[in-house]
Amino acid sequence: MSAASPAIVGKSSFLKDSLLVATKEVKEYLYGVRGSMWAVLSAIVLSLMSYLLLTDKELSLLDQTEMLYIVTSLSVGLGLLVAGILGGDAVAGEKERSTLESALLTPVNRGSLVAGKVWAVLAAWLLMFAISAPYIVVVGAGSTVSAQALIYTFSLGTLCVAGFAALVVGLSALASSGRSVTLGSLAIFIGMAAPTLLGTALQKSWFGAIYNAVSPFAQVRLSLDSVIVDKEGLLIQIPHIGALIAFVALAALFAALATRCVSLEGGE
Amino acid sequence: MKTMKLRIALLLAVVLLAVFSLAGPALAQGAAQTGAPYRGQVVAAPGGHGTPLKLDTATKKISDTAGQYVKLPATITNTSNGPVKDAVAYVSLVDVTKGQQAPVDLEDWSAHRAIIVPSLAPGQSKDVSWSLRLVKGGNYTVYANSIVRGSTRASVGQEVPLFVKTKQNLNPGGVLPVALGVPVVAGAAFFGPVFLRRKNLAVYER
Repeated sequence: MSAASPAIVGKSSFLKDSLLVATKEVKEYLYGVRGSMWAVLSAIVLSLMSYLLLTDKELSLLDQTEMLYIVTSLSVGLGLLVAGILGGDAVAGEKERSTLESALLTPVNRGSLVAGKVWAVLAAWLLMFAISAPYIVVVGAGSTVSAQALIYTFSLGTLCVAGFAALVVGLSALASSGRSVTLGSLAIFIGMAAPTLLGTALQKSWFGAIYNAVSPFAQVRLSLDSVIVDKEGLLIQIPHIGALIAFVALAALFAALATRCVSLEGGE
Repeated sequence: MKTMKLRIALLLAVVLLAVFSLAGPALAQGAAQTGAPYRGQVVAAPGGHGTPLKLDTATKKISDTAGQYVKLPATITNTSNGPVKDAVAYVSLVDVTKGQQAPVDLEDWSAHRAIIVPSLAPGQSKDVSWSLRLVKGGNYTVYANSIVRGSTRASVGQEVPLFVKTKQNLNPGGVLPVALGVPVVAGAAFFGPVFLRRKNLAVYER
């Protein structure tokens, strides 16, 4: 009992501290134009896409489930984009602005600090999902897969963004320039998303198979396609969900290792 | 200042590239639907020994709306005196809409196009079925085929007429309030407090 108590206290303190850091970060996002600007820009992008899909005569010939799949993929894609931008600046940006020193002087350990940054990016995704939900509802109105689209976008998107946020915040902990991490994370995001432009034949080739197996975003899209367009059940989604959970675990491990490298070096 | 502008331009380019990488396939798909139909279906070579299989499909016309799923049931019978192994049964679809006659690539229409029948004893029959998602409106003819290893002529089932009613998902009334409302509400919710906070700070500074 006495041996377990410090561990429990340590665990709860880690969670409490990381949530404290996350709350502070979220407030910064909300009160700063930079942080909230992405939410509004994402809403505009989703508005344009949804309006185009539902009002353009040629595009309106697309099946409703195809439209729903496009909007859900886009919302997860935008979530990743926002996660890359916010996560890239999380630690390295503080080094540049010389505010990391004061953060490290607080009684919050480095692990809690980095974990808090990841929670904050995840909170931005939740906001992104809340913004996407009305579009998913309106595009999927009358279809039988509207609810599934919402549930799967939320769960798959949360897993994918959580992994990506941990990866980017981990990189940010290692780097000394926030801008370089942001650009690097955007390059990773484009690397994950751009092969969706591949033709069908190439997607079925060995390259496409490797890309689909390696890219977490491809796993999200394949699963959304399977649920929304092909109306397949949860059992079929298990390999995709498993791959995303593995991605989250690996990214979390990377972030935990990167935490050790959080130092005051770099910046101006 | 110049560097800052350069950074903003670079960031904007990356964001646009990311958005178009996601939206591109949708636009491409829309354009492809109005383009020239796919041609290039392989026709079984005549002559040689045919497939010892008989395919039967109900010839009743199938009709439904685009976006819905329909079933094409068929029965495969081994008409030979010997067993048949690893028979492959698949469906073919031909657009017979006036002016658009062409074979259709079934990729978007069916997730599982081929059915493998591991073995059929002499005279044995097996019921199979394909699920087709009706992608585009028009008049079509759908039929089942089957081949076995070593055969040079595919066994072809009866032609089944298929009518797909076009469904335009035009919904400007439904999407407009959301398309305009969400950015406005998000803008007000996020920028409002920032604006008020800065205004209050300006009062204190004075």
